[in-house]
Amino acid sequence: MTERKDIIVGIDLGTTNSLVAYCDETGPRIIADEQGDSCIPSVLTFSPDGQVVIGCAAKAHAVENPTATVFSVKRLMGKGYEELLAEGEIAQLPYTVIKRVTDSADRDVAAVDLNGSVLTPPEISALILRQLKQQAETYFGREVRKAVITVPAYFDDAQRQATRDAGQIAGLDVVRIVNEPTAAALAYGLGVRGHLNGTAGPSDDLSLMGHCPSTEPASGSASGGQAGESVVAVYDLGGGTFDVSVLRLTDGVYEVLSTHGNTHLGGDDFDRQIMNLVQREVREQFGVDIASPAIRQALRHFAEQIKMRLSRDSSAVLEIDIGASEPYRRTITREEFETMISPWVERTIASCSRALADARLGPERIDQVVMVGGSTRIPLVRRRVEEVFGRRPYTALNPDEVVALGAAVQADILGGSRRDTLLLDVIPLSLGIETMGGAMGKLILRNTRIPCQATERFSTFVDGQSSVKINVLQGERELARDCRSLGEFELRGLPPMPAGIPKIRVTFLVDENGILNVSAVEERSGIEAGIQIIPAHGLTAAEVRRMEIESIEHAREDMTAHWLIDLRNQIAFDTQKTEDMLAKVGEQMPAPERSAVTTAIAELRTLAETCSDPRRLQQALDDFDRQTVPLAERAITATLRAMDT
Amino acid sequence: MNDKSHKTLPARCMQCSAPMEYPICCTSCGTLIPPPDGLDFFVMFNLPTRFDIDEGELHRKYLSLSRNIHPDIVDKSTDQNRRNSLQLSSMLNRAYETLRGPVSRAEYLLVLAGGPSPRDDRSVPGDTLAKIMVLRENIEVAQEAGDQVALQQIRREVADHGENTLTEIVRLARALESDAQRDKTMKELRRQLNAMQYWLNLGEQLPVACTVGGKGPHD
Repeated sequence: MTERKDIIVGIDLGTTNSLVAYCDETGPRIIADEQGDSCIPSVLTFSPDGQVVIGCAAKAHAVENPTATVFSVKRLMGKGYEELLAEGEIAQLPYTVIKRVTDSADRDVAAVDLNGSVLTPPEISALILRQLKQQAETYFGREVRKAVITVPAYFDDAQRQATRDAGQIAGLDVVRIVNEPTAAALAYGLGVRGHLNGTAGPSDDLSLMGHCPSTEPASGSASGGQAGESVVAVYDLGGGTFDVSVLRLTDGVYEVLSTHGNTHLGGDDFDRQIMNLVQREVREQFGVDIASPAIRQALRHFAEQIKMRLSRDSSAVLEIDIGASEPYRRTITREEFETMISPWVERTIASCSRALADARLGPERIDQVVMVGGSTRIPLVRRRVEEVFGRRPYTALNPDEVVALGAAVQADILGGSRRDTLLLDVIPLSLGIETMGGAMGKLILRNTRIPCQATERFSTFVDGQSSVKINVLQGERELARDCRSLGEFELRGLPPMPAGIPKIRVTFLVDENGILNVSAVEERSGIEAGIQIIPAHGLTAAEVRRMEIESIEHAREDMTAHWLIDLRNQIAFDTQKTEDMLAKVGEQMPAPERSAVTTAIAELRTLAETCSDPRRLQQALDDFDRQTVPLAERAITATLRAMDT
Repeated sequence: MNDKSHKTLPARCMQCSAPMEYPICCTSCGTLIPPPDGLDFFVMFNLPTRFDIDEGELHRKYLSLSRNIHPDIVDKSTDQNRRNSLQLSSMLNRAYETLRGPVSRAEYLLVLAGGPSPRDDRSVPGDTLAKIMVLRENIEVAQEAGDQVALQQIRREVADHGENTLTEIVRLARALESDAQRDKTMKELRRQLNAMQYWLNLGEQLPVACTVGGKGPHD
């Protein structure tokens, strides 16, 4: 058996919906589930007996079972309980968010309490990822172990780390974390390669599929505006997060020039405006407080529908039976809705200006504005984006699918099949350390191209001190307490020396995923210091490993069972088909060949009943299919002949 | 071409014997070469070490090098290769960022020439500080009054000062190439670079010109 190349899938792990995609020589495409749905809602329902339902089915249960239905878990990734409380996030959720018990008072990790069982956001995300993994495995008929997962560009280190942890818990090797707007640009650029000269965008009917021209890198082009160069802004407003990135596309290289965003701004906030309006008015008109989790969950669903309706129509009617003599009835106009959401939209517009300023470009330098994320269907959003960039945004791509397609393209690059394409991304937020007096000492500035690194020297304060603690920060503010602490990095195993004598060189390296790696060397002794990381809002490596093992034990059983069923069905089908063919054209074959096929059928059927190792069964099925090729050819020829006469 | 740029550039790749275009990797076979500490950024791009460079050429070489050393591209089957790729990419990104802008490029040339760092010499030319104090006051007054016209005026003034300082920086950075009065040139360049930092900081303090909220062409 020849060693097959590992499949690498691209996954968009979204606030509202999640998708898995794959790219081959014909281009990227979404892998649909068995019902033919391309995306699964990022919603999970936990029943008391420990069963988990994910996706559309969970969404349907949300109203019946509001406290055990988790949605928008992406907004909790890499976050502490106190932070979420301060941001007002927790008050908005019908399910219970708690502070997880940890080994250290310095750590604050948020978790979800589901009728007594406590799950961290990475564990919950892992359940969604596992569903997507299985979807891909059903499609390919073999195991999928590697994935590229997208995150909002404005995700900080803790949020990225949490996403990677989720992948690991789901049994996926996360080969790359890619920023969502960058992935979208990749999918967009792939669709327009060869059309980049001039300002005209691609035609609206241009398909992303089956369009991968491979242009050679330009050589010897003149200075200044290079051939095939264009500048693209990606405006990505999803269910819970917002990003804007400015990129320069040059012959297959995608250089991010700047990025800005908000990881707590999206369609969810728009829904909440409608929900709050209804709650307020019902209280005023009926004197009833509709705040129970079940009602809020139902309200959320209505609000989402109204929001979507208002993208098409100029007004929408909302009617809710609240048990009074008459229902609450209300017409919401598009203008009214736009007034409600305007402050949020304006924040995204301010981010666009910031990104342009950071890229040192005026809006006139932008050749195309690509719209990504479901919330970009809102007319106000389109109008304001058009105003700030002074050009009509490009909306021909499916805003729900483009990120996953881009992730699949990146997976293809990493798989080595796309040598002409490369992403050069940036770090969205400055990285630094807490210095004396509680200030933020920046080591790496935001929008620095990654990978990048900075070094800093530390020493000791006490004779014989064997460890040094460093508080690593991320953010733009001047004071440490106003930035996010990524955690304490403790350098250990320093050789005992008088105070101030050790010279510890600490290297902060941000890798291609935007994730920080820290290493330290005591320069006098040359000893590499051990580093223990205490993540402020995340899981330790040991915790992730334990969760991975726990979940793999379940998952492996599930997966194997799933795969076995599929294989046995396939075997039953193939052997039956072969038997039919044998009955039809068998007499045309030499006797030994015929009896060999009969034996093969019997053997494969026996194996299907007795063997429960899917790998062995798959191999046997593949062999069988190969062996019956001559018979199949005969059968086809016979059929063709029959049609001729 | 400058002799210096070939000093650390091996003639041929040790793996495939193709001629080496850059000192950090072989563009023929993809072999990565861990750079010696303190490799001259100009040498890294195989560019002459001088202020006047072709920025388009720099960009093209940056992309070409990235295509050879980025972690997404290189074979990561060995830890050593992955480490080299991360380190070289970090260095390349820093080198590109440094050489790309005229101010940071001049600053870097000053370092290479052994000139004073901002820590060694914080001085600025003549009346720069006085001008800055006046402008800061004006900004405060204009901001309190919400006087957009005045702010626009100040913005222009700051930009003009920046332009003038930049002209001086370019002149001095070019003069570094000749040995005549080198110390004096370095000292003066240091001062102009210090002044530039003030102008840039002042520019940052001024709110970005308000294009937001204006009506677009389609209204």
